[in-house]
Order: sequence, then C-alpha cells, then structure tokens
Amino acid sequence: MENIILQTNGLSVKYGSFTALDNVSICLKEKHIYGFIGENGAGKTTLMKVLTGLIYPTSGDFSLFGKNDEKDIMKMRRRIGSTIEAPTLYPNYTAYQNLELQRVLIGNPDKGVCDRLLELVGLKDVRSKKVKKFSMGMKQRLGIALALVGKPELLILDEPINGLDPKNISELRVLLKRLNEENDVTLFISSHILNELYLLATDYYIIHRGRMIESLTHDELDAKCRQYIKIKTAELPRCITVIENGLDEPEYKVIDDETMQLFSHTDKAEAVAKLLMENMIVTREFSVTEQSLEEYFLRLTGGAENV
Amino acid sequence: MFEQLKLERFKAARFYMIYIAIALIAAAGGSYGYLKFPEGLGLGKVFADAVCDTSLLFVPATVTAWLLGNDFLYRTIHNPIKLGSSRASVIMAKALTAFAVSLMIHLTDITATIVGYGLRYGFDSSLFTTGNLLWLLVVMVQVCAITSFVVLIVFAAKNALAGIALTVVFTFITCNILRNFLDGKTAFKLSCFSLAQTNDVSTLVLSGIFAAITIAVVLGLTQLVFRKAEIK
Repeated sequence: MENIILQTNGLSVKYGSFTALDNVSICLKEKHIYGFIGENGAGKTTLMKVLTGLIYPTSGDFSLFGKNDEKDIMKMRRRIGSTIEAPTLYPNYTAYQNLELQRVLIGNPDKGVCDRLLELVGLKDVRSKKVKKFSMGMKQRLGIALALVGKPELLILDEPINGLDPKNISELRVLLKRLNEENDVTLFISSHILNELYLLATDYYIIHRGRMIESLTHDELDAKCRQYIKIKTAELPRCITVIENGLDEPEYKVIDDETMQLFSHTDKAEAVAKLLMENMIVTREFSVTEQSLEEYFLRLTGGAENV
Repeated sequence: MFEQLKLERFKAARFYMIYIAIALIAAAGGSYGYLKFPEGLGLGKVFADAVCDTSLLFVPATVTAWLLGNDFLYRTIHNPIKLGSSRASVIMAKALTAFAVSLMIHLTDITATIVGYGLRYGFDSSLFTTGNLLWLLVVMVQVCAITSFVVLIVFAAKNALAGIALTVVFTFITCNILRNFLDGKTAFKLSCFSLAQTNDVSTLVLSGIFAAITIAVVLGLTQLVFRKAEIK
C-alpha cells in the first residue's frame, strides 16, 4: 500500500471577502509526481505557502507524514524541500555560501553536500560567484539545489522552470525524474508550461479560482484528452454544413474563421475526408490530433485567458 | 535555534555596514573625547558622559534594522520557517543578533570617547569601579531594550526599506527629541530612551528592571504581530 505523505482537509484561506483557497482537499502519495495546474491567482502558491508554513489557513487542516499536530507538522517540515514563487537566496553571497548557510540551518553534518549539489544542478564552475550576478535560470537551479540540501522526501516546487532555457528545462526534467526514481522523492510541482508538466507528472491537481476542480492520474488524463479531427479550410461555413448534413450527430467546435475541431467520428477519419472531397472542399489541414494537457485544462476552466 | 544563531552570526559578520558604522562611531567618539573635555577631568567622568549618551543611538538602530530587514528584502526569512523553525525562534535569533550588533557599536562609542580623552590628557584608573561596571551593564540592557523596538518595527513592517525609515524616525524621536520635553520626568528617566544618567544603585536597579521588562514586552508584541502573519 502506498503511504500518504500529505493530506489536506478542507483548507481555506480568506483575505477579507476574497477567498484565495476554498475548501481544498488533496492527498499526496509517496513517490508520485504531482502536477499542480491553475491560472494566475487560482491559489497554487497560496496552497504551497500554507503547506510550508508561510501562511496559516483560515480553516481546515492537513497532515504531513502522518502527523497533524501543529508542533509535529513543524518538525516534519524538515523533510520537505521547497521553492515558493522564486528562490530565496542571499544575492551578496556566493552559490556555495548560500548552500552552506542552508546546510548549517538544517543541521546537516555532511559538509560535502553543497559541492555535490552544485555539480548536480550544473553550477559547480560558478560556486564562488555571487548570486546577484546569476541569470534567472542559474538562480532557479540554485534554488532547487537549496531545496535539496536537507535530502527531502517531498519537494514542493512553485514554477521551477520559469526563466529556464529549453536545454535547462530538459535537464531539470531529467534531474527531477532521477530524484523521484532513485531517491524516492515525491514531487508537487506547479507550472504554467503544461506540456512540460505532462512529460513529468504521474498525477494532476487542477485548481480554479481557489477550488480544486479536478484530480486525475496521468492515465486518466490520457483517457480524457479526447481525440479530434482538425480541419482547416478557407470554406469553413460550407464545410460545417457538409459535416452537419453528412455525418450522424457530429460534435464539433469552431476555433477560428478557418479552423474547426471535430470530436466525433475520429475513428472514421477516412470517411470524413472522403465526404469533404466529394463536396469539393479543399482543406489546408486535415489531421487526427489528441488534446494536450493544456487544451484539456482550457476546456475544463473555460478559456484561454490568464494561462 | 542554535543553527539560526550560527546563520545570523555569519550574516552579521559579512554585513559591511556594521564595520562602516563602527568606524564612523569610533571616529566621532574619539574626536568627541579628544576635543570636548577639559584637562584633569579623569576617565571616570568621561565614561559617565559617554555611557549614557543617546545622541548616536540611531546609528546602531539603523544598522540593525538594515541587517534584519535584508531577510525580508531577499525573502530569505522563508528559509528557517519552511524548515519548521518556530516564528518565536526566528524572532529570538534575530533579536539576539541585533542586541550584539547594537552593543558592539555603543561600546565602540564609549571606548573611543575614553581613548580620545586618554590620548590627549593621559589615562588613569578612575574608570575602573564596581559602580561603573554596574552602570555599563544596565546601559547595555537599556540599549538592548531600544534595539527590541527595532526588532518589532522590522517584523511589523516586513519590509527592509520601511523598517529602516521607521527605525530612523523612531530613534530620532525617542533618543534625541523626547528628552527636550520629558527630561526630569521619573518615567522618562527610568526608561531605556534615557540611558541611566547616574551610577546611583537604586536608579540603576530600577532602570535595569524597567529595561528588562521593556525587552520582554516588546519581543512579546513582536511575536504577537509575526505569529500568524503571512510571509510574502
């Protein structure tokens, strides 16, 4: 049986009349990688701040590694590594000094851990460089190293790939997967780059306007991400008429003046193509596509705004 | 708590403003001791003048506000809290560091004044009395009491710049302006804002007790303000 390492029960955070988190319940199991998805202001960072002790919830509670007493939770936080919003680094100290300070704070007696982590995140060559001279990507990587100093069992990362270039993103993905597979670290990651999250996560939580609206596994997401036929043509109104008259109960969505998505009849794509050809409709694009995580998220939350 | 103190010591040791403040205070105190006092006064009297001088206390207050505020500026205040340290221990570690920094700067002021005088008129042993030692100890507690207000201001402001600005205004009012209006009033005389003016034992004991209570109340208030506060 999988161990539950974090469970929240009806967590709410209110600021006056504004509800940042509304009755949020999640359950994180050991060794999983959770993708945490939501628009800006949906409550992702607020939840992460509650879990790391930076905010107190207005109501609700949570247990961490099976402990739900406040004092025990504080002790259990030593088993969590996190970066919330942006890495919390001392700009006037070097990369090594930042890690060393964290090591002292944690009370980790392993003095070699800082150099090993700098090597792990590819910053060994700049160990003596002051953090204020670092690029955003380097700071993000150092922030992840900082979160790893205490050999955490749960890693909470808020937008960890912000500011990283594609090479760094790919390297970070490999690193996080390695931590999960080799060190059994459970990951709880929020990101706006949903396609990248899709490559990493085993489970997803989707939050919208402070409410948790969906939780699903990677397999469930794949099952729910519907296939569709993408049709792009200059004669879209006529194409729609042909499809409505020629197919049984077609389910479609118009994307723009030239594009539509046909969600039904995906297993009969050849028949649809033949129907369009018989009606002399010239298509610029005709392909069977699957919804991405991003498209699924947009469908669920009802729009592309703020994503 | 011990780990946090080690961290705070590391940060304080690398905070260059402390060294600049010490150099400035040493220069000011030294010049004051060298130029202000007449010959034949004796080091005991010079000490009596320097130990209770509040006019430069805004310097250690500002430096400590800056040092403490940096953790809010860089958001590094997150680090101990995310690792499960209690907010009370965070406040205590920072308060103890702030006390040490303030005392170091104030002691530099006293020492520089004495050395300034001694260099011009010679050194004597009138300084070394039990009464002066007690006086110095009480003043040290009073300086810590003033510094505890700085801790409260910074934790309430949760912002380095606002903390520094409020501290400067607060210390100017309490340590420099207030005495023009309240000088001679018993409550003010015993408060930390008027560092003990004589080495009379009863005054020193009362001032010391008053300062210790002030520290406890102000740090208690800081805990109350910061206990459930959201950390940005």
